[in-house]
Amino acid sequence: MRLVTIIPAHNEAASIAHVVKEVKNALPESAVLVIDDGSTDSTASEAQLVGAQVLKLPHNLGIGGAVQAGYRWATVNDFDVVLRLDGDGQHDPAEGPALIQPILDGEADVTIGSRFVLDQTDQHRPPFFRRVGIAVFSKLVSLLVKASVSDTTSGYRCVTKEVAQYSALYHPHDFPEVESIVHYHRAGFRILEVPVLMRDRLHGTSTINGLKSYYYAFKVLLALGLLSIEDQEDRR
Amino acid sequence: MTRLSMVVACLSLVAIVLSLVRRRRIAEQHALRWLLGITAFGIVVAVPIILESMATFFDVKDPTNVIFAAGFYILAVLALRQQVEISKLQDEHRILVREFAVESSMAQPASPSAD
Repeated sequence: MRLVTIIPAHNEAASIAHVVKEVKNALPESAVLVIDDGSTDSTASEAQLVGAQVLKLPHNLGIGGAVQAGYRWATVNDFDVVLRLDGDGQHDPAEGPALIQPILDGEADVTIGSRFVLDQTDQHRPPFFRRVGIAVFSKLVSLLVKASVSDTTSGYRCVTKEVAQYSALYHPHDFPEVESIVHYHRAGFRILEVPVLMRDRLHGTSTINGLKSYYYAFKVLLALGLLSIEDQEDRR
Repeated sequence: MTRLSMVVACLSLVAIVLSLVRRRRIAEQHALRWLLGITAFGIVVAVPIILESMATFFDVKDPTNVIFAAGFYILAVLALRQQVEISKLQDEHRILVREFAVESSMAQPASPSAD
């Protein structure tokens, strides 16, 4: 089994080396690919210095484009399992095996690390309005996929080769996490949530703030609305 | 006088579009849409009976309002059309950037591992 951990990163020079080192310690059998999404800082060189492969995008494509590039790279390089985590240090690579094992056991095609499966007191808590948004998305996605999905915005995921191939071709561009779950379900992939602990960012702040958070909510709701209409049309 | 100034405005717009085409700042296919639109507008302005007939048909009291309504509609359609093309170009751009990055990484030797 060939495993690769893909880490999309945009201007994460302060944290990327630490994240790569953590991945190498927790998952020594995994190749590590950092997708440098048009960073203007030294993200790429910091990642290379600690032994990661770097896929350098000449322009900033956004998280969806960066993740899709990672899936494409994994597909071209014939990896069997792809673990995806963020470059800001929020995802603990030590939790990686919990996401990988159900894939290896054939229980799921996509595993999603969820903050909300278990009630853990030391869990990173997103700001109030974001929690409300996550709850709304969770309800809508659960209705669309006819199964409970508690943490639709989580980017901590593990997928099979087939899902990576699918995502290399079809993947939402802006804020892809929520919408992609519905795409996976419609493509017939089995989705499983796995409880994980998430941490605070090592450095910096989230890019989804201010007006962008409203755009995020609007974009995701629009995408889910359109997917819902398509579902109803398919049923007719 | 108003009609004459409108015709002059149309002709100057045609000159601007042709100049943009000549300097390769706008593709012929896009220029064609503008030239057709300006020509149609110019004809309506130069031959008032067309505008009056349209106003009667649409039950508009002041024929000039037909020009404003038609102009707004045409500009809205053109703007939407441009957005569609921009979206398509963005998709193609993303694919190109991604494929370029993947191909470039294949051509490079693997990074040395850190201890």
